[in-house]
This record gives sequence, structure tokens and C-alpha cells, in this order.
Amino acid sequence: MNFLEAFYISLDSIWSNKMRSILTMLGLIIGISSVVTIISLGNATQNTIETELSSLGVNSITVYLNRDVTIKPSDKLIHSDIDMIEENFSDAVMYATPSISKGGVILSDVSETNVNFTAATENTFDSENLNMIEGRFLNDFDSIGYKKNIVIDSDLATELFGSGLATGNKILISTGATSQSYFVVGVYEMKESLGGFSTATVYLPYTTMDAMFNMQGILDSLKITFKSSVEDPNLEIKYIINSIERKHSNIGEEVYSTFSAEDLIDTVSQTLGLVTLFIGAIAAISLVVGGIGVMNIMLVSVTERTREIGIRKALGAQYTDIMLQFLIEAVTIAILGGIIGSIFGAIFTSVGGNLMKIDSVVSGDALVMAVVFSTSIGIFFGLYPANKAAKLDPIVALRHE
Amino acid sequence: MLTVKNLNKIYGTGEISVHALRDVNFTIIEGEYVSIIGPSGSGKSTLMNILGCLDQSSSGEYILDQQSTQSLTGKELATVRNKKIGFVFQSYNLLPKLSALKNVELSMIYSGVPNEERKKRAKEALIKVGLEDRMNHKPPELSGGQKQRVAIARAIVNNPSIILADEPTGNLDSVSTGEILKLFDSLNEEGKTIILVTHETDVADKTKRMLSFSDGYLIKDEVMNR
Ligand SMILES: Nc1ncnc2c1ncn2[C@@H]1O[C@H](COP(=O)(O)OP(=O)(O)OP(=O)(O)O)[C@@H](O)[C@H]1O
Ligand SMILES: [Mg+2]
Repeated sequence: MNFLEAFYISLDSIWSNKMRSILTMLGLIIGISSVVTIISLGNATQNTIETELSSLGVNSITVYLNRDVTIKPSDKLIHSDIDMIEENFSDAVMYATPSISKGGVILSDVSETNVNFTAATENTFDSENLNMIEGRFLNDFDSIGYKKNIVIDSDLATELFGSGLATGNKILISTGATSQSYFVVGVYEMKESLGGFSTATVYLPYTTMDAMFNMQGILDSLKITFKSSVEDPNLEIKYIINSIERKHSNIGEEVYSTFSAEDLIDTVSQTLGLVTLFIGAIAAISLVVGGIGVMNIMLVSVTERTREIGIRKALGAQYTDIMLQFLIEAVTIAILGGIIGSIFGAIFTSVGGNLMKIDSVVSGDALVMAVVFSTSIGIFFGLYPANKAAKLDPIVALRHE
Repeated sequence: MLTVKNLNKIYGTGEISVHALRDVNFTIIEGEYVSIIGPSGSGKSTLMNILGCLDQSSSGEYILDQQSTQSLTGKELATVRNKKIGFVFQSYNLLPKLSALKNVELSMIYSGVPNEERKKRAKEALIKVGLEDRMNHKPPELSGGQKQRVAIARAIVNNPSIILADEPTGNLDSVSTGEILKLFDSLNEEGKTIILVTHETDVADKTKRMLSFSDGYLIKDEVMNR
């Protein structure tokens, strides 16, 4: 008997027990669809996070103080480090920007709003990928002149000034004991943040900020943006750190750490990959349960059809004929379950992607895996019942009532 | 040609063992038409199952076409059942979900006859047993006599030399019995060896040789005058 013949017989049998076949497939449909959905959505989330993180600037590296070593006052990064970097590494470095953030409150007639004050230079606009929707960003004149000019985000602008123009208004800012009034020169577009919550960030000239908080040129950290011609920023940063160490006379003390968006992307991808794998593994267990369902039905089917097997054997069916018939039946049920499961998985993925507001594509890997998995399940769990059927003694099978 | 020598069949072991065949010896040559009779439990079906290579004897020899069946593997026995023997059962043993045509095709599936030829030969066999108008009916839609004719068509379609029938008319009325026996007659005329188990002497009377069994023994082997 050939393969096709066995396949027809199996299809006949599946078709004549429609309800039972569907119920048997159900376990696999649930298992496969959840695995496909989880893996696809996991991949999609990962991609989304990666693109979003890349927009932070893959080409930049932040230098900050290592929290694991004791820091002497002379170790602290100061504004002259920025000048040194821009001067000495002008081949590789596009610009360096200071990072200083402090909390403060904006006072209006009716409310108080907590904000983050962040020091800015002209270059901050580029290094933070900002988009102006009103007015202008801060420039060198603001810095040189210690201007009390600020740039606020669009959400804060709406909160304070409604739909009217924010630019040109004065707002009152309180930092602890004193409060002073500042002039809004521009509004930048608020980016949708991943977490969904964030404190408003208000930019002001770093000189102004330095004076306001009396910081004497000390920075929290500094962000170096490399020219796109630089092939390996991670190598370049080693020389820069070395320079900074020489300037602060702390060579080899590992006072400075670095951080790049690339590092963050790696960490996030890894974590997300693990989570996806873990949930996927749990879903895979349901596949095994589905497989046991297939085996169970096949065993019932073999018992029920013992007489049929006897008749077939009496007419000349050999071990392999019967084996093939039942194995193909199990595999067909499993693959049909896999296909239906994949279809549902694709539907769930696009629905889930819409709900999560991410670009979701059914992962090709997941589909290939679904088919491979369901075939293997069919073979693995079909083998035992098929063997049981095939090695039945013809006369014993014929006598079966 | 088939020969059995000192054939014994013992079911079970110890206290509950049943000695169903005891030292049975006979030879049947090509083209014979043999009936096997005897009271219930005398071992007729047991003998037929061994002759049909569905079961094996406990001791003794069964030689089919110069070949001892004892030494055959399961696979070889399946081939013998497929090619040399056509079995007709009292209870028809048709697959209820397949049409008459598909039922007849079964043994040809296992001998690898291509689809087209299989259909053609199955149709011819069904025409031969007079069921040209019932080919696509399923067994539950057929009468007992019609079912048995499908079974006979299935038994002859692979062109075996021997047809074994264990009480083929046991469930049938006299009219159907007559039709079935007529079929066997014409098959025998074509040269097929036919061995037929029956309770009824008027059925046995239609055959050319009669083997009588009692309590597992072959007690009489007579040629019939027709
Ligand atoms: N599978 C079996 N296990 C144990 N004993 C069996 C088995 N099959 C038949 N027997 C016994 O062997 C003996 C012969 O049985 P067999 O079926 O050959 O009789 P039979 O001549 O065909 O009877 P009937 O005319 O009623 O069909 C009986 O005593 C029966 O009980
Ligand atoms: Mg009997």
C-alpha cells in the first residue's frame, strides 16, 4: 500500500468522526495558537522597544560616576571636561552635552507642578532628538548671558497655558527657598514614553542652572555624541575616559562608568527574550497535554476499530500498512490542529498587537515551529497507538466484538 | 494444493485448555469443492482459521502449495492471505463505513493494484455476483444476501486459488442461500478450490466432497455423488 492510500483512509476516518477529531485537535489548537501568539507578540514588543531605544541615539555614550567606588571631590565631572573632550577629540566627537537634573516646582495662580530641571546647551536639542513645535531652543547666547530662558514640553504648555501660545509667557519657578520668574522661549514635542508616566522636563541654559543651584561647574554626567564616521564608539570612549582620568589625576581608579543606548537595548532584549521563552515554555506544556489528548483518542480509536483492523489483516494488510494508517491519522489530526492553531495565533497576534499599540507580525519562526511541533507531536504520540494496532493478531482482532 | 498433517490445535493452557483439533490429516487438490460439517464446537472454524493463515496450529503441519506455513513470517502470511486465499465469513465482516465498491477494493489496496485498475476489477467482481446496481451502497443499506455477495466479490477479486467460506449461508434464508451456492458452483467450475463450512446437509449435498468433524477429530472423508 502506498502513502497516499494510507492518507485517504486516514482522512476518511477523521472525516467520519468529525466532532471527535475537532475535540482532539482543540488541545493542540489552544497550545499552538498560544505559542504562536506569545512568540510573535514577544518579538514585536522587542522590536518596538529596540526602535524606541535607538531613537535615544545609538551613537552616543554617557559618562557618569561609578557608584561602587569612593568618590573624591576632585573626581567629579565638571564643565571644563566637556570643553576638553570637544577640543581633544574633535575628530570623533560631534559634541558633548552636560547632564544635570534637579527637581523643582512651577507655581501658577491655581496649581503647583513638579518638574525636572535639566541643563542644556545648544547641542542638547540634537543629542536628545527634540522637536520644537513653538518658538526656539536654547542657544549659546542664552548660556553665555546666563539668561533666565526656558524651554518646556508640550504637555506642560497645555497644562499651563491651554491652547494659547506658551512662548513669551513668564512662569514662576520655585527651587526650595527662593522662587524666580523665567521666560518661556520654546515648546518641544512631548514624546510618548514607554512607561506611560513621566515628570515634565524643563530645559534651561546650563550656566543659569549652575548659578541657580550653585553647582560650581559640577555635572551629574555627560553625554558624548560621536560623529557617524566613528565605527566603534566603545573603543573611542576608552581614550576619552583615559583623558578624563588624566585630567582628574585618578588614572586606573575606575571612577567613571559609561552607558550607551546600545547597552540598554542589549539588556532589554535579553530580558524580554527570556520572558518570552519562559511564557512560551509554559504554553508548550499545553502542547504536550494536547499531544496526550491525541494519543488518548488514537488508543480509543484502535480499540473501537479492532475488528476493522482484523478485517484488514485478514485481507492481507501488513504491519506497516496498519502502522502507517494510524500514524498518518494521528499526524494529520495534529497538523490540522497546528494549522488551525496557527491561524488563530495569527488572529490573536494582530488583535493583541492592536491592543498593545505595537507593530505585530506573525513571526515566521513561530509558524515553522508550530508545524514542526505539531508534526512531531503527531508522530510521538501516534506511534504507540499505531504500533498497538499494527501488531494485533488477525484472529484475535477478528473475534473482537 | 493444501495438505494438513497431524494437525492439533489447543486453546489456552492447563485446566481450561480446549483441544479443538486432534491429529487431523487430509489433502485437498486444485479445483475441489469440499464441505466441512460437524456439530457446534467440533473445531470447524478453528480449522478454517488455520487454513486461511489467520491462526497457527499448536502442532502438526499445514502445507500450502508445497510450502510449510509454519516457517512463514507475519509479513509472508499476510501476503498469502492477500494473494492465495479468499475468505468469506458468516458475519460478512464488511467495513460498514465504506461503500460496497470500496470494500471490494480493500485487498487490492494491500497488493498495490493501481487505483484505476482496482476500480475496474472491483466493478467486474460486483457485476459477477449480481450487484451492479448496489456498488455505491454501504453495508448497512444492504440485505444479508447482498452483503454476503459483496463479501464473495471481495474474496474473489484478487483472483485467489482457494476460497474459504465459514458458514457463508448461516445467516441467510433459503432463497439467498440458493443464490450464494450458485455463485460457489460457478466459481468452482472456473477452477477455484472451494472449502465451505456448513451445518446444513442440503448445503453439503451441493459439494463434491464432505469432511465430517466431531470433537476435533476428522471422522469421515467421503466423496459425494451429485
Ligand atoms: N479463542 C478460543 N479460545 C478458547 N477456546 C476456543 C476459542 N475458539 C474456539 N474455542 C473452542 O474450540 C472448540 C472449537 O471451536 P470452533 O469455533 O472451531 O467450533 P465450530 O465447529 O466452528 O462451532 P460452530 O459450528 O458453533 O461454529 C470449541 O470448544 C470452542 O469453545
Ligand atoms: Mg464456527
